[in-house]
Amino acid sequence: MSSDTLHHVLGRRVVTSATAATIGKVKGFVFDRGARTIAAIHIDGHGRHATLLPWSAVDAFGVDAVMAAEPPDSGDHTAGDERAAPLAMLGSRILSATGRELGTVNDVEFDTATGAVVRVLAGSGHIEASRLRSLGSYALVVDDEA
Amino acid sequence: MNLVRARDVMGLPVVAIDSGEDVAEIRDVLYDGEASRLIGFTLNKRGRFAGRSKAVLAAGSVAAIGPDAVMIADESALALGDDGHDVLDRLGSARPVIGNRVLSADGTELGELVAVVLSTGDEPRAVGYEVRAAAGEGTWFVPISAQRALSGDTLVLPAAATDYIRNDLVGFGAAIASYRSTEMEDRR
Repeated sequence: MSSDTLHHVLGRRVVTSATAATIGKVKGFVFDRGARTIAAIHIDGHGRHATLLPWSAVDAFGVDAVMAAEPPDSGDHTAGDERAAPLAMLGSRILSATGRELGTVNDVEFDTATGAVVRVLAGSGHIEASRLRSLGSYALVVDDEA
Repeated sequence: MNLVRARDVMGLPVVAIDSGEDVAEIRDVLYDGEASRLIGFTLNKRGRFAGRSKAVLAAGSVAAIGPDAVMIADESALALGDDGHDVLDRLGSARPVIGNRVLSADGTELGELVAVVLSTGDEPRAVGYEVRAAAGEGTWFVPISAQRALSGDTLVLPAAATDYIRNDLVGFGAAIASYRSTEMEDRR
């Protein structure tokens, strides 16, 4: 498995495989509800008008560029679909399922082949992906250490 | 056993484990003094629409009370509308406990009841009272199971309960366990 971290890939160029056109840079990420995988790459815009590239449309997450199979889904997500708006994992508050704050997310290591989160890096240590429960606007909720 | 004063829970955000969203915050603690039972919590809304919420959080729907948040499994843990009013109606006739004078069964005034103490795991319960000493020597804790009578202005404790008084919450957790086992033996 080859992995990278969110901070390290921010700003990386996004290029379409078919036309070699640069369509933008990596601005951020959208995670699935359980915070276990990257659902989409945020390329441009804000909130509901963000331009998102679904992970399924990523041909290759390369060391110099992200190769996209198709043009990204640009803007105008339906108002009810809050998950379409990029939620900031970086800097998010971390809360244990027993109600204790564990610091903030400094970085996230992910598998560049699958988009799966490997571990979350926080303050003094890291949190394995198996402990992640959900990512919301208030906090990243994680299970307590066994 | 981890314990917390009921008033220290007020203002904590209520966070859903399945979404990471703060769905409410604790407004007040619903405690039935006569039955010495924690019923649940009234709530305030969060964010831009702050103010009293119609929803109520029953004690049995709490996943955990932590130092920084009250956790629920998901938003369905909040009882809305009629369910919520039922809880409040039941509490309408409850006698207040905060401010009660505390007397031992032998007629000695022990102090004033200043707080209800809760256990913090899933299904939190009321487990003790904090009492400010009559002689002005700080506060101490007494197990709720020791309660013998409550009138709305006076709480009566058995003389033996004073053996289990502790002046710190950590020692109190162990003392409650010890008090309970003694009670069980007495009943045999």
